[in-house]
Amino acid sequence: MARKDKGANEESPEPLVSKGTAGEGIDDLGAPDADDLNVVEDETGQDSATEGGAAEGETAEGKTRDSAASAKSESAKNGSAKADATAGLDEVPFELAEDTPDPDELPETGLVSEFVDVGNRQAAWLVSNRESTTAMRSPYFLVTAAVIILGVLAAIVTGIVGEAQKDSGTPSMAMVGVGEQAQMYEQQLGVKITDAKDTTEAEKLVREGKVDAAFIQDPSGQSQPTIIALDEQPEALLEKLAPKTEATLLKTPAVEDTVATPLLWGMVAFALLVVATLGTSMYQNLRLEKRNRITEIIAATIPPRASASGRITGTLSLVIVHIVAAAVVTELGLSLSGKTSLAFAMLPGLGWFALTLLLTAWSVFALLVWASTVVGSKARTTFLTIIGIITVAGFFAPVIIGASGTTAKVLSWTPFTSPLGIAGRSFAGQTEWWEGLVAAGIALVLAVVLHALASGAYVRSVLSGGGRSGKTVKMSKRAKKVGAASAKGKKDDAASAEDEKGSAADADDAESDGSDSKADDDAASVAASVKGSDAAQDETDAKSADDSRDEK
Amino acid sequence: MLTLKEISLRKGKRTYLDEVSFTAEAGRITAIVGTRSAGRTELVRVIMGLISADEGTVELEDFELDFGDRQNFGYLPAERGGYPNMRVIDQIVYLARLHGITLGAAERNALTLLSHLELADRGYAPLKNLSGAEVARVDIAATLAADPDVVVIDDAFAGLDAASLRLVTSLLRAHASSGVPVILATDDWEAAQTFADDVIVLSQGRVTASGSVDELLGDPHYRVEANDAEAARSALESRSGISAVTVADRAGDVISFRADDAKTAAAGVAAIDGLKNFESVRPTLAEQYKEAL
Repeated sequence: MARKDKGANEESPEPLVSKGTAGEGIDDLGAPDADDLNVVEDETGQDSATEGGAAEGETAEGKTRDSAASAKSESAKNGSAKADATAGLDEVPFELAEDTPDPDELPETGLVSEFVDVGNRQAAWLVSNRESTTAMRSPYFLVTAAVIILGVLAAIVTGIVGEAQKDSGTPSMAMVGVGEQAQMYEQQLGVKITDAKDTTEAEKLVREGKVDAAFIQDPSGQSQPTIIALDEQPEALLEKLAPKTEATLLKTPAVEDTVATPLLWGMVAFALLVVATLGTSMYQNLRLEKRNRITEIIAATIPPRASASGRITGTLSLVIVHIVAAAVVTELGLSLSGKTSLAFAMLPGLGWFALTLLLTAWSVFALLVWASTVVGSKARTTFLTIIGIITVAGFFAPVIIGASGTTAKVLSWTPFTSPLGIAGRSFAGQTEWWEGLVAAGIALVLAVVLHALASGAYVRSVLSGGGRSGKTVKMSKRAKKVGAASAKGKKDDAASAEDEKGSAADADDAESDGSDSKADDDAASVAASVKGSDAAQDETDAKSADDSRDEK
Repeated sequence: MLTLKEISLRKGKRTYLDEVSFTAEAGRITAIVGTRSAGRTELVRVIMGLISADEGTVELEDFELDFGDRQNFGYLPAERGGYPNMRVIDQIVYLARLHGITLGAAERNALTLLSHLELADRGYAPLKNLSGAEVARVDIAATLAADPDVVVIDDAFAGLDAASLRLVTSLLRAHASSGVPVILATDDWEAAQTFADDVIVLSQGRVTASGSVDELLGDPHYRVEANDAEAARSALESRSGISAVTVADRAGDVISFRADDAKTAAAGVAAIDGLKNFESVRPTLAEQYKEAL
């Protein structure tokens, strides 16, 4: 890299001042060694001490020379001894000299040059930082964060209220063959007793949720009676039994269905909110940079691949912020509301969900970067629609299909469906320990591949010089109408027709540049040359309409 | 000193640049002027390494530039705008830091430049709150904030009103004076003639003329109107140091001629009897080259 301070940078990896106000390096301010003092004999034959050595700055040397000259004139009048004394008084010791720059050395621009090397990682970090800062300040991000946090809190509160209502009722229990003694047991235990014909019916009542538990006696009377419950310990019931015993659970899902189903739908909403809002923000930034040619400024400064990576990682960092915020609120909320066991039960599912969602978001963002490089608004819209469908379908499908069956198993591994798929199956207790790793691994591979493809497309789009792609500019309908009008006007006005020829040729020759604005500008010039300012204004309006359509 | 040697750029049958060669000297402002589709933007992109030329090289101080060697080039493309929702100072600092300048230096330079461009009070406003001319000035500030080694600005005078033009050109002049080649691509011939030291005239991707503004403008010629045009013509033709004496209008009343210097011209005119009018004429760059283009 050619820099004005290149030599300085070669000497030290630290940021150095090449021009500007700082002037001296910190090392230059140290006290000079005795070895640095040279004795210079002036024309009068007197010795004067000067700070010599190659390390000295010109200014210091100049000052010494000035003082030597002053000493020379004084010596002519007062003798050599007095001259030495004067020279000593005039000269400000270098160590005590103020660190103020010589005004003559200051650049007219007053700019400071302190550089550090910017590698790919630093460049990507700079872009990433801007991307995330911009997105964090946008209302989309703030609204999404608020919705997520409030949603989670609302779900927890709803769950607490529901649980409280459930707990407030009298516990119920099925007993086999109690018959008329049921009322006696109810009075004794304070529990609502349902008579069941046999063990199977009692178990059925439990499975249907009609009773909290079933009291099963061994017909042979040889072993202790057991209490069976569906999928959680009926604490309220067990407390009323003496001695207190543990119930045998019929189903052992990590998270019960009544919690898991709404939780999964909440996670779908969360995933869509996060990916859609942050993805939209990133895509809009990309299009903005393309339109304003900031992309070119960045590409001329840092490697375009780092720029593409930076914006993806920057947006991903915000996904992490959302996930962490949601996870913390969920776990903290559950713990504070006394549902620690549920919080622990949810952890594996939520963990795999968070990891696979992060990787899926990576894929989606890479696809959006790719889409932003596509030339032509129709092609871009199609690309975006495909990304949208894949994302939405991927999040909804596993919840709709459910947690059991081969399809659910496949969906929990495949990209885009894996976040909700693996979480749903984990809540249902149907996953092996390695399945989450498989899902995350597949999502990671896809994300890396898409990232590489998107970065390549971004680099190509930037370094093709804004899209001299060899395609003829497609004129908008309005521009075509104006063009038709120009053909008519050509017959009437030879001079005007000549202008039109030039501009039309220009428009035909101009090639699509990736940002439609240039193409539309050419079309606008056709309009301007033929129909004057009114037509040009119309065309500008058409351009604005096209741009806004692009944005949508 | 930035040197372009025989740059050619083709795409399909179309030739965008055809053996373009010139040198932008350090400390001087070089304007690349040409009409639309002359190849200005393509040339700027080649300089910035955004397009690879089919032939030719771009050299800085006799070292051929490769991709990635332009980190401290200040570049501003033709389209303006920036990030509308970003604060002005943040924008300048961000773009400067991409060049590798430290945060402190970038912030300091941003404030210095905003002050130079009379935007000190707008530094903490979002860009979208600024007027078009102010945005154009911010773009210039962002281009210069890293104290670049080479400045390349496409469509240099776009969006600048008269006051902004004065501020921007003085800043660019100061920057050039610090030993930096400043390259401005523009279709504004008048501005190029006024503010540039050297001019490269680009037409259909070829350099049709290049040199300092004075060289390209050439010597002035003179026009006289006399009662007896024929006698005036004879009088002028008889003088040494006067050449190219021609009749400049259909009526034959106006005589045009060139002289070695203004003194010789005045002496020649003094010899004309019945002189009605005398003027020195120096065609502008636009007049000299635009017709040809």
